[in-house]
Amino acid sequence: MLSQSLSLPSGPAGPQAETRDELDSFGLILEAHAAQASADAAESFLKKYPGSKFAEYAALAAMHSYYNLGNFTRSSELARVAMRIDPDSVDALLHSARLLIAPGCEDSLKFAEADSLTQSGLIHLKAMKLPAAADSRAWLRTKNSFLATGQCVLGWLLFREGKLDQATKLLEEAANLDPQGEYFYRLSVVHAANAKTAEDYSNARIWAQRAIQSGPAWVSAVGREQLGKLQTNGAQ
Amino acid sequence: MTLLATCLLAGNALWAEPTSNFAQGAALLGRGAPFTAVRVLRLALAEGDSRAHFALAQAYFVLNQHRFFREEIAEAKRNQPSDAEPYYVEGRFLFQNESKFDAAATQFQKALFRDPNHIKALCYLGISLMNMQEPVEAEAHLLKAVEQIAQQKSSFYLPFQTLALLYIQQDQLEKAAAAVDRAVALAPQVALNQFLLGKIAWARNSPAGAIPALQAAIALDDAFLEARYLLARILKSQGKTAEGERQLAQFKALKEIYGVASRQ
Repeated sequence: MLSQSLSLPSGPAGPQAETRDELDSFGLILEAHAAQASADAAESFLKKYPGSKFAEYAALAAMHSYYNLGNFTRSSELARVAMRIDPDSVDALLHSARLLIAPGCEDSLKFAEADSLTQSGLIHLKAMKLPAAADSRAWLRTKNSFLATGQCVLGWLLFREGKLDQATKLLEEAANLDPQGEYFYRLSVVHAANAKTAEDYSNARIWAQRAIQSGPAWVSAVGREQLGKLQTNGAQ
Repeated sequence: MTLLATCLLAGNALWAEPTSNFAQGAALLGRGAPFTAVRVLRLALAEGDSRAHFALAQAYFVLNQHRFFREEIAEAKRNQPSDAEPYYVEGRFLFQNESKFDAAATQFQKALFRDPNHIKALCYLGISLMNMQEPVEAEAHLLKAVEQIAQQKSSFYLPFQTLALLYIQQDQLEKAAAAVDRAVALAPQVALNQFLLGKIAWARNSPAGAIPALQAAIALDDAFLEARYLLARILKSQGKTAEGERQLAQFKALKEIYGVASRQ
């Protein structure tokens, strides 16, 4: 469930619903079993309760759901909604950076902005402290997931600068911290760009296959496209 | 509301469990689905089942919803005036979510007025009193809780752990050791119990007892930085410099990852 990736502050500072229906409506977002259902529930919530103290969390949930669905435009709009509520949101900052390098949406004029958003996200991440009552393993998973997003963006920017070895190192760190299909896909691309031998191409193919297997659907699609290119190269 | 609607709200598993909305809501709460539990329990209330108030209060406690919790717990008390549980739960809410130890203690006392043998109310009254700097009263209530644990054959370890902490503060190491031994016997999987076992053993000049207990605490909770730090100090003092340095390096690295040494 998506609730696993979204943690609400506890104690007196935790968000309070104005009405019970508002809380029930927010619960539907966290309990959704699929990305589309979560996105729909979050959109409905934000429309009905735009001033809710839970609005930031609804926006973040939808931001991730749309990203998983490959709808980068809506994901970006919801990241902006979350950042209007909390300009220091680590999740929204790093995710916004990631969207600027999303496959098919990349714009070299936005690379400096992606770098700046990532640096800002990582600075705020470093200041985050393990809450006394938190489950340390869940905390570490969340922190690693944020770190991985940052490493992925920075690694990709290095790749675009032609610094292939440094790029590989950061992307491998991202994949180790949080094994996601997207990181595998990017590793395949970087390995392929750096490939000199048949073994190098073989490694690039392995990363592409891992991306296809891991998903979500849009990652599997770009992974298949990448694998197709590599099979052509491998035959050469 | 029909059973079908309830099933749609609560999930397909409920088809096999045709029972009241109250029972379904309580079961969902027990299964760690507080949002769904709230929706089903609200249906129970709409049907006039007043038992749902207390379960709803507990769900809103879990969801950290202060106003809704207060409204439901007040109704639960009205409906079950002789029941200790609503008073105990309100005390826990005040203790845990608001750090209002004085107000929490009052609720625990009201729970004990209704059930003098309520182990958890005795224990949390003791903990509240410790936080209120009333160690003599705190010890008395914790010891009563320990008595009840024996009488009721309960496996609740918290009074022993709290007594160990209290006795450490008072430098009564023999008593602390006896208390922590009971806590560990009842709940060896609790990292703080293992840590206290190690800390007390070290304070009693027993590194051989301290080292495995601290290692166990770390194995149970990777973020237990104080356990790592104490283990590093003990290992170095025992001439195991390399192992001590390794622990210290891990302590520093984890302090960076977790942000702060926030465990006990």
